[in-house]
Amino acid sequence: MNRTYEIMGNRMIAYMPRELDHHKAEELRRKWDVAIEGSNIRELIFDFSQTEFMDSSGIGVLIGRTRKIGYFGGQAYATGLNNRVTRLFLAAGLNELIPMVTLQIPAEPSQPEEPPKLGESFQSGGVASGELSQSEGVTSGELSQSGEAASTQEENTPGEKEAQHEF
Amino acid sequence: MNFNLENHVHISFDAISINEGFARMTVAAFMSDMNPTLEQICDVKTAVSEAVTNAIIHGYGAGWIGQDAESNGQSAENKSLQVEMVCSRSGNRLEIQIIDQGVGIENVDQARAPFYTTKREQERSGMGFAFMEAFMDELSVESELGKGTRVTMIKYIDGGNEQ
Ligand SMILES: Nc1ncnc2c1ncn2[C@@H]1O[C@H](COP(=O)(O)OP(=O)(O)OP(=O)(O)O)[C@@H](O)[C@H]1O
Ligand SMILES: [Mg+2]
Repeated sequence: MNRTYEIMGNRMIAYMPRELDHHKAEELRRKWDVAIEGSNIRELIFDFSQTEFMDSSGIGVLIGRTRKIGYFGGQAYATGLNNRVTRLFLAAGLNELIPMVTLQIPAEPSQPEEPPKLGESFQSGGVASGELSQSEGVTSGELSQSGEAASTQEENTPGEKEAQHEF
Repeated sequence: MNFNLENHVHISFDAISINEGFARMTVAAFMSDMNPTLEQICDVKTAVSEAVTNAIIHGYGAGWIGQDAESNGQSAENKSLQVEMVCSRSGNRLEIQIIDQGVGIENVDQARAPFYTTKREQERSGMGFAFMEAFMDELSVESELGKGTRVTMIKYIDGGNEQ
């Protein structure tokens, strides 16, 4: 059984599935909402490191959870996006709502005393670089005209925007 | 290279969300001997996923938990609601049709505009047609209220792996 989320203190990590479509989004929406409503979460991190496929239904479920956590005064971030997911993110302008960050999840998460400090675990470097090197560069789809996914990816410029965020 | 190969597959499946993944896998299998790149496979899978999801949630008004699945679709009567997928290959030309017999679209031009959605309360973002258009070479949408919708998408699989 795959974990769909984990809560550490005020932080919730939502583990995104391999394929995030409408079918999967419906299932996860309900699980995540129960978790969000039952805890005092200030940071919601969407971990895309296992995700190979996402479509517009994924965008919907991300926006919905981000709004929800916003009602409780929290902020959502995304980490571990591959080129494909990044491209959809940029095309939909999601990066403005959900900053893309690099997050090192501690190797030993089972230390309940205190959650890892954000300042330590976040780097304002944009998208996780390990993911990026795995796949070929974004090719010239029409979407790159609006999202500039191809160029921004390689230059890592999204990170410059993210750098302004206080963690 | 089988550039003159013709092939046609016509399938019909229940309008339930688990079949979105089935449709993606099927189209990936169908196009596999056109020697596509991974990127091209992913483009087509995304477009098919969008069209099939639209048929299920908009055409038939199903697939949103917490609401009556038939509330704005047709009455289910005795037959189950079906989505059809037609895959055709002619040389390097791949054509895919996704067909439903659902409610239809009143204004197709408006529906195709990015961020336009009639189901914002169901967390739709209105990006489906925009993605189909971006990831395929051609997109056409025929629809009639009360009759259904046919989405036709074409992609030329050249510059693929084997060249
Ligand atoms: N098969 C269909 N039958 C009836 N209406 C449709 C169909 N496909 C699309 N529509 C209409 O077109 C609109 C736009 O579709 P599109 O896929 O672009 O966005 P969406 O489905 O609303 O949101 P998203 O795809 O981002 O989840 C829909 O909101 C719906 O009103
Ligand atoms: Mg859609």
